[in-house]
Amino acid sequence: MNSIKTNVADLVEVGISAQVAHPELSKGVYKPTKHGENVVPIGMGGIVYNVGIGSNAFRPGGDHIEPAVSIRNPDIEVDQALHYYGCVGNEVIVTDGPAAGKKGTITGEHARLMVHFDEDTLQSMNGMDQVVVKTVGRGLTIHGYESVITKKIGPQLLKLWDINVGLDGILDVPVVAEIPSYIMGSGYEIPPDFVDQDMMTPDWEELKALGLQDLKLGDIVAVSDRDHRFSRRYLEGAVTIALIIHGDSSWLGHGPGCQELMSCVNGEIRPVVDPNCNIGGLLGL
Amino acid sequence: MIRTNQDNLVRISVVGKVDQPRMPDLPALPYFVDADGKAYLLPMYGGLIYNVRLGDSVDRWAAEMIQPGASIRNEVEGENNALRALSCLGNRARIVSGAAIGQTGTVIGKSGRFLEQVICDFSIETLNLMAPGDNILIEAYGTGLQLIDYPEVYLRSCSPILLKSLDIHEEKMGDGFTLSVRHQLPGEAAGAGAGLSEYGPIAVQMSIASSYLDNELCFGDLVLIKDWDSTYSHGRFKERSSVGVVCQGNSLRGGHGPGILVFMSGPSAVLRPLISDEANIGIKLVDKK
Repeated sequence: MNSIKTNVADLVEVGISAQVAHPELSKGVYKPTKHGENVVPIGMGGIVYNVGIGSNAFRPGGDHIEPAVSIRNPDIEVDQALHYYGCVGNEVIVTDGPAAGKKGTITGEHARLMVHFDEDTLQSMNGMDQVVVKTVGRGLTIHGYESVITKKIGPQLLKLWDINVGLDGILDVPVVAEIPSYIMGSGYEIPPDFVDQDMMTPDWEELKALGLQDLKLGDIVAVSDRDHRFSRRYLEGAVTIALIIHGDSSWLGHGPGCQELMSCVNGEIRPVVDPNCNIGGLLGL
Repeated sequence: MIRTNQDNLVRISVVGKVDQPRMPDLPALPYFVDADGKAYLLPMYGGLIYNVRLGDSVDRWAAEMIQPGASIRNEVEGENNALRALSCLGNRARIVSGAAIGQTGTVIGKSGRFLEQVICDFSIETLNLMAPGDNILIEAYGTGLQLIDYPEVYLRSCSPILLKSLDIHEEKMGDGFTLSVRHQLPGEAAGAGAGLSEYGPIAVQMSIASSYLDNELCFGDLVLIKDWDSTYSHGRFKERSSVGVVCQGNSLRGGHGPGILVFMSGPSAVLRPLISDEANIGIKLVDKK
């Protein structure tokens, strides 16, 4: 086993400002579930005090719950830059308000970037807090494995995630679980560098049969037979490594979000199951 | 004869204009990116498309998710939502402005997220008289249609005329029915559109579907997708099936492929497909008029 070599020392670090994103609801308020019941979707945006990295991904009572703090920039083009530049593990610094000077960590990219802060900081924030994200990670390549496309892996995560080169030259990538391709749902219309693709989770018995019932926010997973290099598609033999970034949903075609970290189509990656491969543990959140 | 509430349905006008292509201004690039990361530039989606017709193979054309015939939209967002929600497959489309005024066609599909058009078939003679911007009035009829003995079957974008063309046959009232489709596909073949609750189609991932297709997938084909439901939004749902019409051509983008506008979802035990080479709305609906 050998460690990987990357171009991480050559990556550029760019500051982008954002603020806590207030929760939003449409005028209709209700959304129908897969069974036609109407629910008020709660859990996106704002400061979510009681769901964080390590929480049960299938926790009921919310919809697409974004753990801890969601941030965005009100200028749509700057916000797009935040989406494409922000990487998992990047440092976030609060720049005004009662929590000024406190630091947090990017934990994923949904419709808004999500940030972990410690409990004291969460309690002190005023819901309108301004932050700066020190974005870095775009352009990451692994030497000798340039055909493996990486996405939104911050150097902070890369350093602590135990990726190695196996004796046969294949990358051994630790993951919590493997997910079959056919369970992937909402997210085909958007590029795999933007937001995530949801699992489709209408059938609890099927999830249990697949051993996925204990997935947690922050778990790193492998999605089998998925090519997510330039689009999101089924391709036999491809592997996509993803991060569970948001909670379950009661809408059909939706479920916990899988944000891409790596994708390859030529067998360069071998997922190695490690039940503790969660960014909470890796990044010390 | 399957029992419906069709006598209770309202027939209402919705209007759209014949659409035309738009491209982004510089410095944006005009290219799409294929599944292997290569850039390409092809005619895409719908407008006034002269030579792509119902019955053609979805693979034939050098195009991106091309839509046969004339595709229309309404420039006012709320009005376009109504145009897209209320127009039903098989509805009459009447030209109400321009050189082809008075000519009629048929609603044969819709396009999805980011485009939001209604697709109409017209004769070649009529298409040659038409121009982008012509107003088309749809006599929208079908929203609210129900099968009285099958409350668990959900219909959307389905006119009574389309329903009649499906060769629906009940052995015993309320005990399920057979209907004609040209293909049956597994839920795994469904791609873009999953999770969406808008009025658009779902795409077929041909990387999976091709191994299940006995013959070519053609514009207008009726297709049943197993373990899939489109009642409230599109998604995997074991023991339910969805039936739709092929209305968009193939794509070079991953996860995208021919678009199928779903008009019926229900328990797999109730919707029993009979494979028929004639199960194409070009044959069933349009040619008969």
